[in-house]
Amino acid sequence: MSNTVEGFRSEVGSESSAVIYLDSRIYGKEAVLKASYWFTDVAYISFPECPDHNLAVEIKLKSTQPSLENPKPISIENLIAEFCNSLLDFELRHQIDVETAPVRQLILAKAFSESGILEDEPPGSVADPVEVSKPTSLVQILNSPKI
Amino acid sequence: MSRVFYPREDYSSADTAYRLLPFRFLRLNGNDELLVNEVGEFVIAPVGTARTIVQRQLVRGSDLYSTLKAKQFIVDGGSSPLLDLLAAKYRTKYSFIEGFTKLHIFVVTLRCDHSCQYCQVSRQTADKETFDMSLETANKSVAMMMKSPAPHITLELQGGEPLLAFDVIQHLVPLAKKQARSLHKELDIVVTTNLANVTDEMLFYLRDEGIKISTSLDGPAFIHNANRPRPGNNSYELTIKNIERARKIVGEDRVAALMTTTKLSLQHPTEIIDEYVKQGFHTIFLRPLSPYGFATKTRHKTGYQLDNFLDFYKRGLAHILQINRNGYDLAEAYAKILLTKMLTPYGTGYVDLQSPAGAGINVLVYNYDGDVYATDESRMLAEMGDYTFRLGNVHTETHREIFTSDSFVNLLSASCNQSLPGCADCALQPYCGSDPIFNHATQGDIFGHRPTSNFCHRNMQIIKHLFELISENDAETMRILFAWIQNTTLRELKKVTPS
Amino acid sequence: MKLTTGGKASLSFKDAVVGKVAREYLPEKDRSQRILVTDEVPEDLRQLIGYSGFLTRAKLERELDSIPTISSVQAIEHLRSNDIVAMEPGNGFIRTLYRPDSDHNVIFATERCNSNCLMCSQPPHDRDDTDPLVRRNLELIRLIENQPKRLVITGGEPTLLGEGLFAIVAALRDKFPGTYLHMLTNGRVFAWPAFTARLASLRHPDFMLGIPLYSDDSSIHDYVVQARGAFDQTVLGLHQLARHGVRVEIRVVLHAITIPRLPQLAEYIYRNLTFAEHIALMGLENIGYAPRNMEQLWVDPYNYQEELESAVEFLAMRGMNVSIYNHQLCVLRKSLWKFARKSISDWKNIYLEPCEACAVKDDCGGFFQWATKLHSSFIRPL
Repeated sequence: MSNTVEGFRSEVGSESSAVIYLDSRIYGKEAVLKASYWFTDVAYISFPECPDHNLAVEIKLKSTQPSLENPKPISIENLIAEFCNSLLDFELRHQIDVETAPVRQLILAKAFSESGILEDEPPGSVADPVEVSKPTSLVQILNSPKI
Repeated sequence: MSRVFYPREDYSSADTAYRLLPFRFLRLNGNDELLVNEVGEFVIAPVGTARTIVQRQLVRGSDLYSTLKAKQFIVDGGSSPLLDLLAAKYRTKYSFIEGFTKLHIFVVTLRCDHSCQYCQVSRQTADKETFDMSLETANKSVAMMMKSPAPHITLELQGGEPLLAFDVIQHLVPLAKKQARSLHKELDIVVTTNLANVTDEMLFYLRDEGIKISTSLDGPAFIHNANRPRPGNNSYELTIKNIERARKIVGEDRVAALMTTTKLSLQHPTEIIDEYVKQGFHTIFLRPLSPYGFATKTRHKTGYQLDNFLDFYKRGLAHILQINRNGYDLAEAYAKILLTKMLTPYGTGYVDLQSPAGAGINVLVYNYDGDVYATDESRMLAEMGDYTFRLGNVHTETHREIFTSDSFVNLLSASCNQSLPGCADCALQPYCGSDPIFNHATQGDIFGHRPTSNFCHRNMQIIKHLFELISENDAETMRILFAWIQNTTLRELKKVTPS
Repeated sequence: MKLTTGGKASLSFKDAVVGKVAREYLPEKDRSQRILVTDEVPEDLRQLIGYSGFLTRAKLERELDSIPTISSVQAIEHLRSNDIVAMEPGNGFIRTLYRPDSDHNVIFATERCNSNCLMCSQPPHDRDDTDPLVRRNLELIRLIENQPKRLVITGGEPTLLGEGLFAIVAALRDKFPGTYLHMLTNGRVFAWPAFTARLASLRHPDFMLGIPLYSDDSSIHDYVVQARGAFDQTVLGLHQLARHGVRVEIRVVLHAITIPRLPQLAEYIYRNLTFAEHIALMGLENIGYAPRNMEQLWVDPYNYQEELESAVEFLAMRGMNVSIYNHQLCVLRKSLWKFARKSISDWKNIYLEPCEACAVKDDCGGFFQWATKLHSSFIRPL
């Protein structure tokens, strides 16, 4: 199943361990780390060295036996599948972040700045045909210095 | 000069490209995805919608496209991004920070006649001198309270059992009122008491001073007495009798009850809720057990798994909704807090579920000995020898020194869920909060480890559960929820809505 | 109810006259600022001395130079003593500006507008009427004697008057501080903080702006008002107004373009414009531009009760004040009756024939007078 996802290949070592090989041209380090973070309750995760375009993620399940704390432990196959989904989601989140981080900073800066300081100029014009042909006091008021 | 009308296409952007505004997403269940923007406005859409948006595959002119534009998830060439609008909405969400510390908890004594299993306070049954707040400490604490810039503050009298130090209360109240008046601050006062020792004289005093009462009711007798042992094992009977007396003297609407959940409670959600109905309460707070103080020591008596609590909560909530449908107004307080964040433009100042965390910023605790703590839980940790969140002492530190102390500044670094691992990307971030003290107590560091965090798991599950409820869009359920949010009754709401 | 009539203006009548109607001859000392209105011309022309103007049904034999006159007036029955009217030279129009016995008096600001709504009930004219109308309205305010309960400033787009608008609002504030002042405006100019600050600084004690918003989708709103960027300006304007403490009401005209996303608009208003004091959901008026665009606009109100109820429920449940204007009770779901208001101004309010047998006629707002041409197919007595 993981073979059908581009740049994602897994090798199951035992019922409690596996290594996932990721093409680092497709999956960024951030997404890999963030996806891995969410599995550190049920597994130990490490990143062995890997040649060239690959990122390796080594997964060792903390337990395969049911316990009071963990009555239905996940199988290594299911974990790999969930890891794949999670990785895709975090890659998407990263993309959103890259695209929106600057505007998010701006929104927060505006939110915490004093009234009027970081405000945008109003868009467009409010002139009707009469105002356009013969500007009246309206234009002066709009452009007067802010109180 | 005659004017011409232009067709619809003239008012959409010719360029089909759109830009993204900040948003997060999360899978709700097999079919649905939750998309949340920077100010907590959301869209519930089919799984894969986030991907569709990012990959620029949205269908122009579709309903979803219009909605995403209106809710400021995307912006196209046809209009401005209106970032100032988003900023204004952001400010509204965070207005609970305004004024800084609003809740001031005064631990007037550690003495108490109960031995509650889950108590996070020393059970000292004697020695008034050592364990009551001295008058000097009281004076210094009130002075520090008044240093808060908040125009409206709340003084919460706590303990132990505060009524055992009634003389301290009688000193504190007029002092606080006088100073609040001179600073033009509004002052609310509430006393959290088990009511076991309340006299008529005390009740008249509370009435005359306009002090509200918050007492403990854990459920019907068999649960309440098991949770809250005292000599004579009659805590329930005393509580009920004294709630009656308090209501008569202080006023029906001035007596509230809180429950604490134990392993025993978890098996009886409906009985506990029915007890609240029986006693005429209209709010119940299904709280999880806090992991502090004696609870940690007596874990074998009161320890339980989070999933059991979640099951208790969901069953309890369903039962409460049914009670409302049957005509009795009963609000669940935790749901109300979450729903306010999810369904209104406003934030909430509930100190245990806000970002930045309420510790210090919205609440401060003044212990009987003058020590100042960031939260009540911080004080409980100190009872067990952990002084990490002790910010100073009213006798030795100034207000400024308290809030520039290392412990406070340290606390702040883990106070905003916007920057915590796991939380930073979470779609539920605007509805959730952070609790560095909880993290420290349960996981050993103030930042916490999200995948194993009970705080995270509990809130995620409850918020998701509420979203499931909302997406069912049952008209009557929504009415009930909005009656809670608006602090009104279903009957009053029916008067002003279509019916 | 007539508000405009006309006749033949005398040639020497050059400047517009605003005055109070007198239907009876008055003693000389009382004639100042009065306009005499008669069926016939008086025998002795000295009886006209001292009046500001003269209106008569009679046809004049010869010109009257001594006093601004409009003769051969089509109708004068609607003119009552103490009504304030404007006499226009040249075209000979006689406009009723103010009726003391009515609750629905309007201060007409200008025919100019910077939008061009598809359903506009008062289509704009691109003619600079700013100065004459400011003068006329200030004169009107001077002439009003008793404090009216409420006044509405409308147009066109009143904010285009600029300083003139501030002068009018200030005059009303000073002379009639107890009058509730409502102003209909598209709100676009308030996106400029300087303008909003000027209006707010007037500190009129009882002032509210009624501002339309037609969709949560900017391109749909802009299409309805026929102005690119209008949505953005209006929303930004509403925020500036709120920030400056000016009270606002949101108005939505219900028709085929605004109905489909009405529930979403309700959510938009709740989330973005929570400060709105009131939301008015209004039935379409078949006048002005509406008839010519009716193919895109018409939907029988009976057929949009689902969307209407959904929007009202959404807002009301969240504590917003909602009213439904210009809808008949037989067309509205019963659950919405409590939101229906008798909103149609007396001078354009009628009932239809089936209404005579209706049990709830007295509670129902009825119709606009132009509804005789177009109304719901579901009108029936209840």
